[in-house]
Amino acid sequence: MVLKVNGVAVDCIIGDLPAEREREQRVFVNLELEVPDAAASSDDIGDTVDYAALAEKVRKALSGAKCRMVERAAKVAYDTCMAEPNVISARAAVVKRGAVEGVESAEATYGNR
Amino acid sequence: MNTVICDDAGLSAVAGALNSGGVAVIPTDTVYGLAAHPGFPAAVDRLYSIKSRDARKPIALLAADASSAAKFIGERAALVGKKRWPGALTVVANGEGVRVPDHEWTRRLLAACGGALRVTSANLSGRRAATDAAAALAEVGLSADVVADGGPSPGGVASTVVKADGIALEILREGPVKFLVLASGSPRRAKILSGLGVDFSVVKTDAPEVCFPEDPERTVRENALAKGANCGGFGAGVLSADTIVWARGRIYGKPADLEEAREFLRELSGRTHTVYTGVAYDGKVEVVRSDVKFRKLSEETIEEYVARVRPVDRAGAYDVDESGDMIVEGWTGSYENIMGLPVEPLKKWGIA
Repeated sequence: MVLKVNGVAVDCIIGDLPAEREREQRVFVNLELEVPDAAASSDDIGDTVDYAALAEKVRKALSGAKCRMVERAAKVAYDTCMAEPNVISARAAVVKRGAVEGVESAEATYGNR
Repeated sequence: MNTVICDDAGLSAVAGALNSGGVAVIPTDTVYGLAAHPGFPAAVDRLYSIKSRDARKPIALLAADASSAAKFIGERAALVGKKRWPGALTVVANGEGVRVPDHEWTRRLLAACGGALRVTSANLSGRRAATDAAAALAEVGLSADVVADGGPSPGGVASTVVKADGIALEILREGPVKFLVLASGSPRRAKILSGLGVDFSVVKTDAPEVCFPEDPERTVRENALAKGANCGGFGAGVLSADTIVWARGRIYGKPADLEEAREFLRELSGRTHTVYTGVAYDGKVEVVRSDVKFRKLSEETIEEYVARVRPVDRAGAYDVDESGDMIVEGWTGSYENIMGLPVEPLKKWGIA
């Protein structure tokens, strides 16, 4: 079963430009998680992933990582997902908007869902 | 020497001769046979001398039915025959080989002789089998006490011979009766098939395995098909399977050694993973998934489990059916799938 968690807003230091190292920017994280089928019948959060808690863990991880590259941020989000015992596989995408004039967004995806 | 016709009176005469330690020529569903009662060793010895047969070659039995056969080969082996008798199948177990002939008069004779007779073809060793009473008489009949003339025998094909001493059958001679072939050396798959009451033989496959690192379903599907193709291909009654563990976004196959087995178990500890098994049968293929949750495993538990199970030939380095409670907290889906052979496709294909 696939659980998608879309648009997790994270305010964090991210980027390689001097100005980006001094102020937080908002990025959005999309997660695609392969989880056991069990919760579909048990209706029990213990059989799947608490995505509210996971979103908070991703925020903390990205805030702490202060990544320069959006690629690195995607890997940090992926690792956070894979630390969940009920995540069988995952893909994490980090979308950074408005970093460069004339470019709507940059997005990096890590994982193999 | 006396010649009789295969009617009721002839049956009484032949049974009388055999039940008093004589030797008789009788028709069967294939060729004419030379028969003796197994309870008369001297009569059985005469079969060897009449045929000039090597004494080291045992003489098989013809039985009236499966329950008579079971007295020689045991209930379990007789069950293999029961599903297919009467006909061209000899089942070997406990050092005996038994067949129930597809010939009504002969089965009645066998019943009248206590259920079974030792029967060898009514020709001298190394010579052509006799398909009528005259030929049998010319070959060995003059040395017999009675010859039963049942008209021409159809002759034809030698029976399939299977050894049924273990979980899997061993095909000693190919013949008209065919069995499912399990293209796998896995004792767990054999155990599942046997538990379903399926009779099968085992052929180990050496098909090279492929791995699509991001696609567990395709991996097991293609490996299952390749193993089947490697062991006879489509239409040969070959059942093949491939099982992997999918966790942490990667495929876990069989560990290379015990150290890698420990690593696998550490990585699966406390997590849920998915077991994928691809099952193929005559060109058809199904993939079944089950989710398995591992306990949090201490180093001591891992060490004890590895020492006890030595799981180097198991996908993911574990066997749910062998000390599985040590490491598995729970699962959803098919237990047999986690063992390596889900039952549902077998039912769908009419195997089980």
